[in-house]
Amino acid sequence: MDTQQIRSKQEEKPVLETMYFEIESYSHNEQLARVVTAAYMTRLNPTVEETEDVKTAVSEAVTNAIIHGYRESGEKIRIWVSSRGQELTVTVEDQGAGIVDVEQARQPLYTTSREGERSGMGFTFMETFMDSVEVESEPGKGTRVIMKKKIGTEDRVWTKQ
Amino acid sequence: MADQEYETGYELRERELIVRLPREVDHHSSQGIREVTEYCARERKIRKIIFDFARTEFMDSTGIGILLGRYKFMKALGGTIALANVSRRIQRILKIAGIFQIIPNLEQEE
Repeated sequence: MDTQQIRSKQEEKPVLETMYFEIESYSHNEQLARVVTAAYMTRLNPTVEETEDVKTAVSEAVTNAIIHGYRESGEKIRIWVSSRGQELTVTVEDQGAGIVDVEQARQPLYTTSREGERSGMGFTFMETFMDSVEVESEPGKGTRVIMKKKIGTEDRVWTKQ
Repeated sequence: MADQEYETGYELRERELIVRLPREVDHHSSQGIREVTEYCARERKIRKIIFDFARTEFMDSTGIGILLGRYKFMKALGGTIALANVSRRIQRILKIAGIFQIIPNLEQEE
């Protein structure tokens, strides 16, 4: 095969690559989760905005796991960051409280926080900054958030403004 | 000392409280803002909280919750909040959250 053939074969079927890590559900680890995810992303040659978008979405999912999933009790949050070609997938999983009504939880401004300092915009931010967000949850078992974003396409959100 | 940019700073100027937000505003780095503003309202009778974003490069929805919470708190006391040094990225986050609809006439300073 010549270079051209090899290249077209690679474009046809990019391999799936995955990084997996765990953090303890303490708030100081929110930044770590963002930075590690951003480091993985560099191989996809993202724009600054794309990196910031994914970091925001990861921050929302991890913060939810810490505050709502585990209620700040220091248990394990599992994070998978994978890519197939330019398609990035980030999965954040906790084995905490779970969500009784996922549809309701995803509504903008909905929050169960009683202190009144949470905006209820977490899922809205994940949906805004990623191409798709899937939520699997079972009360008493935990929550898994699967977020996908194609990296290296035009920055649509910016050009719209 | 290297950590200073990751911590929230506060400055009182007569009856204004300037909250210097950290480089990354998240659930962790913003802990304490509520307590400090409540203390300053009680003890120093502040009329205005100015949130200074000069150092801020990252903010998630936690920041939105803080602004809304502090806006309601100050409004109940007859006071107000204002923003300063908002970058393009932070402006975008604020817009997406619809904060300019929720807080009309939100003052922005240089």
